[in-house]
Formats: sequence, structure tokens, C-alpha cells
Amino acid sequence: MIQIIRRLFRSAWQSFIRNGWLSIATIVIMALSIFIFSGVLLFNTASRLAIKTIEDKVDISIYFLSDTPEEDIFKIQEQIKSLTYVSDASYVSSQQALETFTELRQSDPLIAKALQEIGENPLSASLNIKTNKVTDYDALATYIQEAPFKDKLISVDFSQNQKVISRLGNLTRGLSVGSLFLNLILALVAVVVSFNTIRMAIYALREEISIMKLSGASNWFIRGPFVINGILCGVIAAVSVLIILIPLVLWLHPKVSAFMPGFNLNAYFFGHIFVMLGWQLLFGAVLGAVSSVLAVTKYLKV
Amino acid sequence: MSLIHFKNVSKIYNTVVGPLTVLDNVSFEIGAGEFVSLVGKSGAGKSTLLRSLIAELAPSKGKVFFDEKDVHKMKHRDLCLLRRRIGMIFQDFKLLPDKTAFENVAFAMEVAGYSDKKIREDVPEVIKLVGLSDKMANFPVQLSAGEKQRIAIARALIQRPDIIVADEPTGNLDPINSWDIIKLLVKINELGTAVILATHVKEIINTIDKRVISLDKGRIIRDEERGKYLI
Ligand SMILES: Nc1ncnc2c1ncn2[C@@H]1O[C@H](COP(=O)(O)OP(=O)(O)O)[C@@H](O)[C@H]1O
Ligand SMILES: [Mg+2]
Repeated sequence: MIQIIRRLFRSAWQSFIRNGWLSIATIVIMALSIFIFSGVLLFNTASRLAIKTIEDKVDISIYFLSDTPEEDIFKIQEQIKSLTYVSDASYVSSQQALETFTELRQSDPLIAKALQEIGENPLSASLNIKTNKVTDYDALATYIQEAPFKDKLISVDFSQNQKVISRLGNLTRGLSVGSLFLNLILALVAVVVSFNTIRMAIYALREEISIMKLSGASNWFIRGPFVINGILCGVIAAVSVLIILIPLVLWLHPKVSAFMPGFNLNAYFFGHIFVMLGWQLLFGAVLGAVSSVLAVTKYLKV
Repeated sequence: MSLIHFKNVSKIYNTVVGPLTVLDNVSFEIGAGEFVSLVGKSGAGKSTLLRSLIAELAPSKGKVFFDEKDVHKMKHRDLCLLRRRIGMIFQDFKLLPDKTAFENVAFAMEVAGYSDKKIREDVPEVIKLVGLSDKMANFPVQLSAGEKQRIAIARALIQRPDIIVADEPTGNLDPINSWDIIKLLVKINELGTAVILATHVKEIINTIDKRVISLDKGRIIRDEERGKYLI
């Protein structure tokens, strides 16, 4: 048994080395497939994460006139919280607002000086409201516009968020349908292309398969090395893709951060690197093995 | 008891111009240790006959027995075992191009599950028998046609088959190499292995002076104990 396994591996390794160009071509094609596969995977999670981060960031702030008593604001807070689509409404007093503001701009002496000159706190108390779903913001906006406490407000800060919000809603919906579709197509293309490459590699060796058959080799004795070879190509391809991805991610990281502030590509990628490698190896190995079995079987009928 | 028994074997191909009878009701028997030449013009059906012996193709009618067993009713496992008992030699050698001479011969033993130790012992022995000890590490492209055919013979011999089946083994060889190969086959036969030699070369048959089966248009027209090529 050990002898058979050793022979299988030796034979697989020999044909891998001696058909060097064929092996390299197969690896390159499979690497491309795995690259697409992991790119799709990464893009999917990244976009889902990014949307979630932005969703958490999207909120509506309402600012109260400075003479509004805190009790009134608390009542309004309760009213808003009782709305079914609101997940949170947090109160920020004018004092707190000032503290955050000065803290953020501590290093700027000009602003500190300006504040001193004004003498009193120029910032107003506010409620920061979040909804359960991005799509509920329209309802919330309408509610605030028609609310009885409207005359107590200085401003409602949602106009600049509005566009982002509605765009995000569309994007979320579009992405989940679109990316699923795109993923399926890309994965399919990757599988078909890899399968065909392996099939061609084995087609080139069909004569040898029939010679082996006529020497009395059993079907699995012939398939074995091809299958191991296919797996080997898949594994090498998977590892090369990961090696290519590392500098790519490092290079992309600042660009992604600028584009989607909440999303840390580096942390995500390196935090999931082994899961990622696992999927790539599995994808490569299964693709290689299944393609080989299917391709060889065609020439085993002699 | 015969080693090989063809019983009313016919092979008919359906071609675009209608059915083509390539073997027509062929019957004969070959005993263990016999030397039989199978002669006939090109296209007479020699290769078709030999390929139906190793179940590479199935006859349209009739039966082929090897050691009393119907080769076309065999399970996968039995068919593998059958092919290990028949050493095939072809006009185009059919060596595995990415294996060395040694590995090509060793492959036939690996297939049968021999140990590496046994392989290391036996393979050089058989390669020596065909006179190529100094070329064991060569790949097929590094061998001449005659050398390739001798390695193919070594591969056929290594499994200690009951019979060597050679289909036009000299077809790609010059006369001197041809004679060497024929002498080798005769020598193998003298050591006890049966041989079927398919050829269309008159001179070869007439000097061997053994049994000759003559095939013409798929039919056996003569089967003589000490035959000549008469077509
Ligand atoms: N697959 C096939 N389809 C149709 N005709 C075939 C096929 N294979 C062989 N033949 C025909 O069978 C005949 C016998 O071929 P073959 O057995 O190779 O002859 P030989 O070996 O005696 O030269 C030839 O006429 C050949 O054209
Ligand atoms: Mg022929």
C-alpha cells in the first residue's frame, strides 16, 4: 500500500517535471482562476463590510434652539425612540458638543482663541438618530419635518446625507443581486477555463494513457498520478496567488482607506489570510482533481 | 488445451459507404509455446485480429478465448490481468516518451505491483537480454528505432507473459535491425514463450520456417504447420 502511494507520487512528480511547460501553463491558468475567485471573495466581503460601516455612520442629527429646556428634549427623545424604525436616538448636550469640538481641534490655537472671545458656548444641543435600515431614513425625515417640535429646531442635518443614504440603499440592493450574478459567472468561467486547460494537457498524453492500458494498468493506477498532478497544480496556483495578493493588498490599502474610511483592508486581509488560503487551496485542489478525473476517464475506455 | 482460441470471429465496420467486413468468420487455435506468423497484405485485417485478442476492440460476431476465458466478457480487473499475460509489441514502439528506457520497462512491473527491489533486480537483467545495458537511462528520443523496439520487447518480456504479440515489429526498421528483432523473437520462443508475429514481409516468414496463418480480406485462406508466404 505504502509502495503504491509512493509510486503514485513519484510518477506524478516525474510527469509534472518532465512536462514542465504543460505544468506551468496549467498553473498559470489555474492561478488566474483562483485569483478571480479570491478577488470576488474579497470584493464581496469588503463591500458588505463597507456598507455596514457606512450604514452605521449614516444618521440624522437635529439641533435645538439654545433656549430649549433639557426636559423637552428628553421628551422628544422618548417620542423618537418609540418609533419602530428608529434604533437609537442619543442626546448630546451643548456642553458635550463643545468638549468634543475643542478636543478635536486642541492643536489649533486660533480656534481656541476664537472660542474664548465668544465667551459663551456657541454650540447647540442635539439628538443623533439612527434607523434600523438605511431605507427608513426617508420616513424619519418626513416625520421630523412634520413633527410638532419642529419650531424648536435650528437645523436638521440630513440634507448632505440624503444623497449618500439613497445611493447606499440602491447600492446595497444592487450589489447583493449583481455580485451574486457576477460571482457565479466569474466562478463558472474560472472553472471552465481551468477544466479545459487540464483537459488539453491530458489530451496531449492520450497516447500514453492507451499504452498504459495495454500494459495492463488498472484505471485507478493510471488516473492516480494525473489526479495528484492536478491537485499539485491547483495547490501551487493557490499559493502563488496568495503571494501575489500580499503586495497587492499592501499597495491597495491606502487607496481603499481613502475611498471607504471605515474599512481596513490590511487588517481584514491579514486577519483572514489563513481562511483565505484554505479556500484557495480547497478550490484549486478540488478543481484540479475533478478536472483530471473527468479528463482522464475519457481516454480510459480502451 | 489451447492458449488462444478464436471462434467464428467477424468484425464489421459501418462506414459511410456501407458495412465493411474486416474479419470474416475467423477461427483458429494457438497452443502454449507456439510460434505463429500471421501474414497478409496490408489491410488484410491482421491488426484488427490482434487488437480483438487484447480486447482493445470488440468483434461484431464470434468469441475470443484466452486460457478458456472469453476476453470480451471480462471485468476490468480480469482484463488488466489478461493484458499483463500478453506482451504487445507494435510497429511504432509505443514507449512512454517521458520515461527513460529503464522506467518504461519498470512500468510494466509497477503495473503488476512488484516491489521496487524486485524491479531493480529484474529490469537490468531483461534490458541486458536485449543488449541495451548501456542505454538504460536514455529517453526514447535518445534511442534509435532498433533500440526503441528492443526496449519495447524488454517491456513485453518483463512480465513473463504467456505470449508475445508483435504487430509488424519490423515495420519501421532497416533490414539489419529487422533481422535482429526477428532473431530475438525466435530466441524468446525457444525459451518457452508463445509468439504471434504479424507481418507482410515475405523473406522473414520464409526463413523462420514455423506455422503460418495467411489472411486475405479478413478471411483465413491457409493455416500450415511449416508454412511459406505464398500470397
Ligand atoms: N475504425 C475503422 N473504421 C473503418 N474501417 C477500419 C477501421 N479500422 C480499420 N479499418 C479497416 O480495416 C481493414 C483492416 O485493417 P487492419 O486490421 O489494420 O489491417 P492490417 O493490419 O492487416 O494492415 C482496413 O481496410 C482498414 O481500412
Ligand atoms: Mg496492421
